[in-house]
Amino acid sequence: MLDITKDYFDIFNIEKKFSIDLKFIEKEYFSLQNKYHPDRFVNSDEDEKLEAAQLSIYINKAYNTLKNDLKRSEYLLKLHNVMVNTESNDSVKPCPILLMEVMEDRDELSELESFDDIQNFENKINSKKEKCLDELNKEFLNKNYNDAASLTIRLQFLSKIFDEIRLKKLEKL
Amino acid sequence: MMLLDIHEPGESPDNNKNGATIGIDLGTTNSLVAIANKGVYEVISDEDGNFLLPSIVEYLEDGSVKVGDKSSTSTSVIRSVKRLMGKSSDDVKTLDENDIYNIVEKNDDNIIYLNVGKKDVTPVEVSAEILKELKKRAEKELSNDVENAVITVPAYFDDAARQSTKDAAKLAGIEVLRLVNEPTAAALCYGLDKEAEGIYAIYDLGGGTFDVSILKMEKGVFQVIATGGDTLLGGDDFDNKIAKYIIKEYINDVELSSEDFLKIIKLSREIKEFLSENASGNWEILISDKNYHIKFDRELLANSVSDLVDRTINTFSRVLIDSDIKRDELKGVVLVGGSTRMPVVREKLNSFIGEIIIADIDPDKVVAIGSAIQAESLTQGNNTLLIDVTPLSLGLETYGGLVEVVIHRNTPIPCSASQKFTTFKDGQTGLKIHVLQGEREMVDQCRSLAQFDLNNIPPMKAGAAIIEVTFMMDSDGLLTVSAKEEVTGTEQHIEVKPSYGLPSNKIEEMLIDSMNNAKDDIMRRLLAEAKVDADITITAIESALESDSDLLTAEEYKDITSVISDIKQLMLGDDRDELDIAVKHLDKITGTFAEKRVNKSLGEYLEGESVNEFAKKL
Repeated sequence: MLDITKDYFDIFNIEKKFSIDLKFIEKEYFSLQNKYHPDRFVNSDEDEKLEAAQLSIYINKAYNTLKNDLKRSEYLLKLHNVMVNTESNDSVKPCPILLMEVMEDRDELSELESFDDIQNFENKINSKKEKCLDELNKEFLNKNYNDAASLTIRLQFLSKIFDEIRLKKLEKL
Repeated sequence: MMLLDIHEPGESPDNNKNGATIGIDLGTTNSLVAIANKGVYEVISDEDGNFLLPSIVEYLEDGSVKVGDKSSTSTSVIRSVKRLMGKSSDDVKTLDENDIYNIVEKNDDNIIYLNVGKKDVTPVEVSAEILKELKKRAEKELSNDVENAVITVPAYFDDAARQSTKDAAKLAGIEVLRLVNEPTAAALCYGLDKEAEGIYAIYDLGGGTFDVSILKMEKGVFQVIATGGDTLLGGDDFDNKIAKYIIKEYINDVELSSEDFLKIIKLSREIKEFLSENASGNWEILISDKNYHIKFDRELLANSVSDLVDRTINTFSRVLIDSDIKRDELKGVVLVGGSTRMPVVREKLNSFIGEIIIADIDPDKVVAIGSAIQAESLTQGNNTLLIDVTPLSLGLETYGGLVEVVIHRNTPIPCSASQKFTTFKDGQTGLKIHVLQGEREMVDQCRSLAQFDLNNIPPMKAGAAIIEVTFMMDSDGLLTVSAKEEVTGTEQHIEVKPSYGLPSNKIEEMLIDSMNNAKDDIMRRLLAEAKVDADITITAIESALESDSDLLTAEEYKDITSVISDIKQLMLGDDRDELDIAVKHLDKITGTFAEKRVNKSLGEYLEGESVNEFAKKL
């Protein structure tokens, strides 16, 4: 049986690294659910069903965390006891330069009207994200967790902008 | 002679003899039943070889019921009853469908009754008749009793409509193994047949509803990524558009009876179906002893229904954006539902998504076969697995009428998530847990699912108690909510059975609203938050005034109380800017008051204690 006291990386039998093979994880996810999903236990007794449900929930959580760049980064930092952007004093906080940049990006987005302009803006934010992911990977490899935390905060803001882009696109439909 | 059934030990006598299970596609226009038997799936036909059972129920003079007779035009016939499932009589008043359904006004409850001659029936009873007929078909084919089945429903059927479907099955003597979304069932059928892998969209335009789902398929595992749809858009609406055109252009000189109207609708459907195969045609219709000659071609048809097709493309586009899937990531778009035969639908889809349309399995059969596959998976087990998602977000009411989402829509199930809350007032011993479903930010715009109280919280300072609320949804989509206070371990939980009788067809309306009004919502949320802030500020200052008004001059006191009453007035309105200005003003004029109070309490505190000792405590 699967051990749900293991961390998400162990569940998928992969190294605790930021850079992961998404295709592999997806395949593993499907094969794990194939084994433990409650629908595989329809003819079992209540205890087995309950256990399967717990496993299946854990697998879903693990998959949803690992496949998402931001969630994976936050989770990896948590495993190294680094707190990111929380109220707590020992948490890594956003730097003023980043906040300025975020404000400028938002201002720019708020003035865009056409679908194409929004798409171009999204491409721009996307390349920022790609760059951020590259750096994040480096910092994790070099075990610079504080720098990784700062980049994770950057990723948090970028993902919020993506949410806003999505809303704005829906508005323009 | 009595025949005894003899079974081998361990062989179940009741679980359909051959190990066969059934799936039912309970459609708006047509219904079907399919059997799964050791990996072989087939749709069952009647004696005449028809596998489609028209979803038409006729109540005859002698009290018997006839299902599936297309030719009948009597008023004791009910068609498209699926559109009424889960609706209240208040809902249909706004639907302009009274002419078609013969709805009876009854004041005692909010349930819809349909008159069928001598008696009145509910939509659940009518659906049950269709299910009974399908059950009979399957039993005849299997020469055995059928007790359970998977039944399909539109992805965007709300809770009330789903429960009504289950009730209808119960009436028909069928236990529902699971309700499966129609597009998902279609994917099961398609994916298994073609061994498809990758991301696919299912575009399901049925008789009464439109659904679109995005699925990831891999070696028998099907993961629903996102669903969206429109419960009030289907083939019937296309017929209505054509009918309206005919009435406007041809039959505009007579008063139409409801029988005439039905006749025109029937002709409209014929025209629509004919033009899927042919470029143009001519028809005759007799209304009030007058013969009308009607000409229709594809272009005319495309023009009269074009806005409806555009609506489906728009929904499709929303679901893609919402699920963050790019168009070029889709490997194919599977067409389901008879209405997808219309050339105009295919043309518009092609120009939206490219030439990746897949329609090589009969769009009428695909859902029924998929439901049989799922029925087999849930009874005997097979090599398919379906991982479904929550169609709508689930959340809790927080202070100020705001909704805090706990489980986001399109989260794979089973799942669980928790959120921590705290008390708002000093000494608060109870907390109301209000569970909501929907995408909007305010409580009154979401659907209320359940409410319960967590009591016996030990009295503490506001903000000191920590209450963890956990949502768990199982693979049947059943939600359990529990709340626990961490200090004392006080715990409450509830199984959420969806509440009914509320005005329905809300789901997709709520979703569209949430998208259209995202901006509006943010403004409302900001306003609500500003009100909460104002309330907190006023409460604090009022309590300070109560204990320390002696620190103020009469004039200062008067100023403060007058600003407070201004703010209370503004809190009733919806001008956030004015409210913000007033609260800022209040902050400013109470600044010296706050200072005086700090000095006063510091003075009280320092009595009897050295400054050094005090400093240590800071």
